[in-house]
Formats: sequence, structure tokens, C-alpha cells
Amino acid sequence: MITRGVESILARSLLDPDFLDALMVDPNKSLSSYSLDDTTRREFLSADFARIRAFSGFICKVQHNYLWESFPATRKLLAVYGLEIDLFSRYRRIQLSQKRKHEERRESILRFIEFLEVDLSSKRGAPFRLMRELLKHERATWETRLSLGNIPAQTSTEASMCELNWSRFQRLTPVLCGPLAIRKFCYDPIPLAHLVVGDTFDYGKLPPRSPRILGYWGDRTTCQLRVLTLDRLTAGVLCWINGRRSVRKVIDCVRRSAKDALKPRDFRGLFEDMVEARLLSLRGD
Amino acid sequence: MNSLPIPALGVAHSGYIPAFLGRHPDAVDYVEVPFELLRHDPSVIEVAEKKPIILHCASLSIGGSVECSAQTRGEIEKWVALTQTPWIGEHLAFVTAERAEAGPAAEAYAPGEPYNIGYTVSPPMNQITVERVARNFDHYSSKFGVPILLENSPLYFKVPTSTMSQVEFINKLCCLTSAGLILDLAHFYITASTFAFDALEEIEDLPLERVVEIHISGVDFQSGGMWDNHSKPAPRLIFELLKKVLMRANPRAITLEYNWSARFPEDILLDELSLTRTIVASRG
Repeated sequence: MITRGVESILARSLLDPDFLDALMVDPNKSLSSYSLDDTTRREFLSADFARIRAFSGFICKVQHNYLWESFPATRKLLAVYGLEIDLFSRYRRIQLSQKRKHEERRESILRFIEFLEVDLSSKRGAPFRLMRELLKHERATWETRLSLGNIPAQTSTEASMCELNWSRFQRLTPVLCGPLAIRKFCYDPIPLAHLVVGDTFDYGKLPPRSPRILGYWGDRTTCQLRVLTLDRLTAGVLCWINGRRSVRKVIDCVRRSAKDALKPRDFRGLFEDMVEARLLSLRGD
Repeated sequence: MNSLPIPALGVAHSGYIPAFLGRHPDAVDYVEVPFELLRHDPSVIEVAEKKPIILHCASLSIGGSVECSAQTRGEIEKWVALTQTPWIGEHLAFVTAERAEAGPAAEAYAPGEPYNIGYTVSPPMNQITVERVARNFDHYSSKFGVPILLENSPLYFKVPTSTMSQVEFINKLCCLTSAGLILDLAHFYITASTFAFDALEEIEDLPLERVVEIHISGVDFQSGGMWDNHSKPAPRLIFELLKKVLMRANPRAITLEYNWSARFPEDILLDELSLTRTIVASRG
């Protein structure tokens, strides 16, 4: 019996998904190059490779425990619905292929989140709908918080903005005061996330749909994340602001893409409100 | 640690623990800290200002055939001194394995390096491994100036070439060495589930008089099996096992290991600490 060989084969099967796949398909062939005695070979031929694969997924799961910090509701739902081992078993190959690149934690998180989003997008049923909503919410929260520290200082709004005539006002350029992500939801994800994380969510009964648009704003003045409930028009305006388009251009874009029959002048109050809320600044021309 | 009650009650370090200790300074007697965490983030040692530290370790690969590197041993030695830990808890497992043994078609993974799984894996339960673990134990025990305790790993599948149960393995190991044990009750429960034996009955067959520390944490069922889970509360059976073990064992420490989630519910942790104290007190 070659115990060291047993450990090496096990280690390889946990670190080399191609090898493990080959073992599952044809263990005899995969082990043919190993100098194993008859007993060891026989034992390997009858080994539970599906369980070893699940164990590899379990290791991957544990190595992603840091996700609990920023994605607690998503992780909780994966756990509650018993999806973790299967999901991380499928993700293991990607994890291992990146491991040697010594990537930053944020890159690892992003890689997994993108994998999960694709995975969930193909699934039907209420649990997956709920997971997609909470993942979207937690990703926007996480990304906005990350971006909050990387925003260059903005110029402040012209003090005399309210005295500007309409023509000059339209030539101003709106600039977001901090990172902003806008997301549409079928449910309000904030109370849902609280219930899920706090273990008080009733999994037998999804709440009624409550469509909404949320803006995840990294407020530079307080250095805090603020989640704003936005109406469709405000969200539409904010989506077109890129720090280069003028007020006039933004209004044109919104009016072309939306069916609202608002006149251009009707937008002025909206811009002024957003400036007052410090969500925007308006640069002079 | 010498001035602590027996058994002392502790928690495994996690992101939420410093704040927890701030709010509940008398809830626990010590904090268990993994060597690997200290290596990654030395500032974690600041918790020692509040509570004594017990050092836990998953790097010696005491169940394997690849010797732990001199650099890692040196770092463990440094943290033993800095934490003043009374012992080092180590898994009865391997983390590294020889690549050369894996055959000519082995993946070109870290050429020249052994496989590093990055997670503890139980070795085959057989006589060859028992003898090797005993040799490794004696070898490492002379290195650190504090005892090494060996912790039962969870068995998720039958490792090829195993010829004995984990309970038999641990008994044989205790015959060959003076090793003290960490009995992880969740790991034991998982092994019982994998091999379909009665945990409450079989635990009697362990050398419980060797148990120095007990670990408590959760488990869950997924993909057709039971898995270790340090982010879920312990099931009732874990506390039944604790009661049974305490009838014979006299551990110096009991650690609640909820260190996988940065958000383990505080009320549940307090409840489990209270329940553990009650069970300890009721043994008379």
C-alpha cells in the first residue's frame, strides 16, 4: 500500500478538475500511469468521486467565506436553499484557474458574482427570483462603497444658479457628486435583505411584488452610501448624466428615450432639487 | 491561561468578535485564533489585550508526508511566543502532498512544489498513517515548547486504503503517542453521518480522557451529505454529545467556533455560551 500516493492522488483530484473529471469517467484509465499496488488501485476504482468532487466544492465554498461580509443575504439564501456545494463545485474550476494569478480580493469577488449572476439568470422559480434581486442589491451596494473612495473632487455648483436664465442654465454640465448605480427591482430589496440576514424571512411566502427603482449613491459629503428611491423620470435623467453632457443634451436624451411629454423647462426644478440634495453639481460653461 | 476556570469557555476569532468582547467582556475566557489568520493579518493579535489567546493551526500537515517548511515552522514558533498560547491545536489531516507521487501526468501545478490544497484533508485511516502521524507528532512536539493537540477531522468519504475507523485510528495514535486531543463534536457528527454510525454511542469509544479541548459549531445537509458549517448554530445533538463527553472527559477548554461568517447572530452565540456553561455546571 502506497499511502503517500493515495494522498497525492487525492490532492490532485481536489486541485485539478480535469483530472477529477477523468477519474469520474474512467478511473482505470486515469490511474493507469500510477504505480499503485492492486489493493490501492481497487480501492480507488470504487472510490466515491462524486463525493470527492462535492468536497472540492465545499473547500471552494469555505475559501469564499469572505463573501459573507458584503453579500450576507446572497450567501444566506444559497445556504438556506442548499445550493452552495453544487454551485461552488461548478465554480471550483474557475477559482483554481485564477488562483495562481494572485488577484486582489475585489477581483475574486467580482469574478464569483458574475458567475453567480449568469448561473441564476438561467434558473426559474421564486427562490431564484429572490436571489437575483438580493444579489443585484448587494452588488450595487458593494460596488458603490468601493467606488466611494476613488472619486476625484468635483467642482461645486455655481452659487448663482437660480439667477441664471434658461438659456445659460441649459449650457451647464451636470456632474454626479459621487458614484451612483441605478437598479430596477421587482421587490423592495432592503427590508427583504434585513429579514433574510436576520433569519426572520418567511421562505414559504414571497412578499407581493413592489416594483421600484433604487439609486445607490456614494454621498461624498458624508462618505456614506445612501440608497434613494427614484421615480422613473429622475432615474432617466441620472442615467444620461456622464459629466460631459450639458443639461440641454441630457434633457434631449431623456425626452427621446422616454415617452413623457414634459417640456424642457419642466426639468429645471428636477435639476435644482438634485443640486440641493448634493447629488449633482452643475459646472459652468 | 493558568488562571482560567476549567474548563475555560472561548470563541474562535472572527471579524465580529472584538466588538462582541467589547459589549460582553465576561462572556468568554479566551479567544481561539488561527495561526494562518495571524500570518495574514498580524493586527489580530490585538485581541490579546482583552482575552488570552489559544493558537489554532492548519499548516503543519501532521497527517501527511510532506514536512512543513522551516519558514512556516519558524512563524508558528514566533506566534506561539507572542500569543503565549498554552498549546497549539492542529488538525489530524494533511494539507500538502507530494507531487512526484502523483504520477507522470500530474498537472504542471507550482512546478517543484508539493500540492497545497489550502484546506485540511483526512489521510487514509490505516496502520501506515497512524505510525507516520505518531512520528510527525513526536517530531513537531519537540519544536514549539508547548504541547500540540490533535483534532479529529470530519470524514466526508472513505479515503481509499483506509482499513480502520477514525475512532480506532485515534485510539491507536493515543497508544503510540502522548498526544492530547481536540474533540470537534461537529466533525465527529459528520463522520458518524458519512459512515452511518450512532454518534452518541460511538463517542464512548474515543479515548475521552485525552481530550483537552472541545469544539462546538454547526453542520448542514447539502448535495446528499453533511458538511461542516461554522456559520450555523450547532444542532441539539452536539450538546447531547457534549453532555456525554463531559461525563468522562475533563477538558481544559471549550471553544465555540463560529468564525466563517462576519455576521453570526450575537443572541445565538450568547445562548450557546449559556447552554454550554449550564451543561458544564450540571455535570457535578
